[in-house]
Amino acid sequence: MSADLRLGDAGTRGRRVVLSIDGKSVTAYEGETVAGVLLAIGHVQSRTSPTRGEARGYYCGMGQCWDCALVIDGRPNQRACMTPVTDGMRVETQTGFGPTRPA
Amino acid sequence: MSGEILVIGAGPAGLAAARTAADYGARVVLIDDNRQPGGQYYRHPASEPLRAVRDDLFDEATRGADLLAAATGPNVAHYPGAVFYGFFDDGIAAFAHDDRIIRVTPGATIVAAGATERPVPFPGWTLPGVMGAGAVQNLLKGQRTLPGRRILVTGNGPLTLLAAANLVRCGAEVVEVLEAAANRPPLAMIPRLLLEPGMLARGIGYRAILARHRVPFRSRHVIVEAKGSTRVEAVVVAPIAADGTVDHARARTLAVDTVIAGFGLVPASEITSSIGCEHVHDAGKGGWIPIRNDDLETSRDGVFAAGECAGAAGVEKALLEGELAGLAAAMRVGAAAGPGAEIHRDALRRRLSRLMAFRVAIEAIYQAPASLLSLMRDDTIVCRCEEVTLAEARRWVREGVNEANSLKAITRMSMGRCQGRNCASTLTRLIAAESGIDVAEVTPPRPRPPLKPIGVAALAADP
Repeated sequence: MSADLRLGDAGTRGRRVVLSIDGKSVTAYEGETVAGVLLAIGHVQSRTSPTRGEARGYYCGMGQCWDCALVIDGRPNQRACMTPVTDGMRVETQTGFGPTRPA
Repeated sequence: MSGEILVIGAGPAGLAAARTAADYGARVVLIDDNRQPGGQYYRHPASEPLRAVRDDLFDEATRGADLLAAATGPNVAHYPGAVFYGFFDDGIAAFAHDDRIIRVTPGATIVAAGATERPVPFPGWTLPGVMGAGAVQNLLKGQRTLPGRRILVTGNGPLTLLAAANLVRCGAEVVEVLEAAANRPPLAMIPRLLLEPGMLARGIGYRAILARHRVPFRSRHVIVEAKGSTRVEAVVVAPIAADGTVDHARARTLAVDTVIAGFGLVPASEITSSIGCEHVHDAGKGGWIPIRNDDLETSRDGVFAAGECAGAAGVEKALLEGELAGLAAAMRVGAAAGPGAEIHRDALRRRLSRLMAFRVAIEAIYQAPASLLSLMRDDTIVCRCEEVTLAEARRWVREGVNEANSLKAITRMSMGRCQGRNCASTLTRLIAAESGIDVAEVTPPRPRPPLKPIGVAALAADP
């Protein structure tokens, strides 16, 4: 197993894409979701809850719970588990309900 | 367009329904929230290279290739990434797709909405690193990625055992697997188990995988708490005593970074509920399920329900029910008729009846102790979206708000983005416990459209 939590050797996972997570450049593989990338590198917190300010992350994994929602390319409340990664995508941990205006 | 069949959900049941109806010549509109067909069971990576990673373990999509092809087959219009909106007057159904609202007037509708993880709140269950059994299955099947480095698996039911076995086969470090039930078949159930020897053997095989890797499997054990500030750092686990209560005196603390908590599935009945189908509470099938006739038609004319949303009982049942509902709907719109269709229908009904006899034994083996409802403390979150604690919810129930819709309105429980999928069953159990009545006597909160959040752009663009 590699340094991250991905199965299989890096060379077998297909075309690489580069995205940014909280401003940091991260390499991923085509076909992965944002949630898959976040968990693979140990970035388990997607957001901070609006009322109590608690950490939340990937929970149901099937688009039902919205706990993994975060800011993708300036759009808040995007489910990490349902969003495929693309080259140049900007992913940001969300605070509360997130930015009210697309950046 | 009329006479077409709307199938909601492209998992095993929905795909089987769509394929069967299309094979009989009916026109099918197939919608699903996911971008790929297959639901949770046939979930597979979106790219070819990823699909080849450990394809020895995750071959569901390969085995189901014929079924998955139905989504793009003749007579089927598939709308991936579509969110069902609701049923409206004059038999109009609407869904959001690509920031547009699309309306259809189906001659028959098949709801195959699947199931969601049963929420069993315990202290720390909202911490990052705690996830459902379905969540980890999707991570393994769909992403070929492990959820963490040191993993506790806790829960109730066969899906959780399967998730544990898959983690171990992928090389994950699973520290323990805890099953809340006694996990022994009552003697009277043995003949039923033997009705489906293949499925029985698979279950025994999963236990053998854990044993081979020296992963302790403990029945009558459960998680008591997950600890950490911004992610899981440790868990407290304890045995469940013979009287069904948690034996806190024998609790142990384990260092882990990940918890798989899978306490079974709850049928996704929000669509059938929102359109007024009659439901019945069936604990063995996961909760409230629509009442159906032999054709799997609900109490609402022309609306069929198939698969896990009509009783959580595994993929084999979902496939059979999907096929039966697809056939019955095709007969309804006039696409299927005659002795051939009737012979087909009788064969499906016989096969389903044997399978359900087997499932009774599985339900008995995994019957959960009542203590699973008492893992919560006063400050435990019961509604993850609106961040309502047990103490807040219980205070209102004790002040006399003992009806689900009222409790929902006052506390906002089940009004958040998950629309009650993670708390409605806790809410009704709480009312039942505080009022001293059976949970089957508490009507769950009525879901209202939109059943899932829909972008305002879609609604604004709608004339």
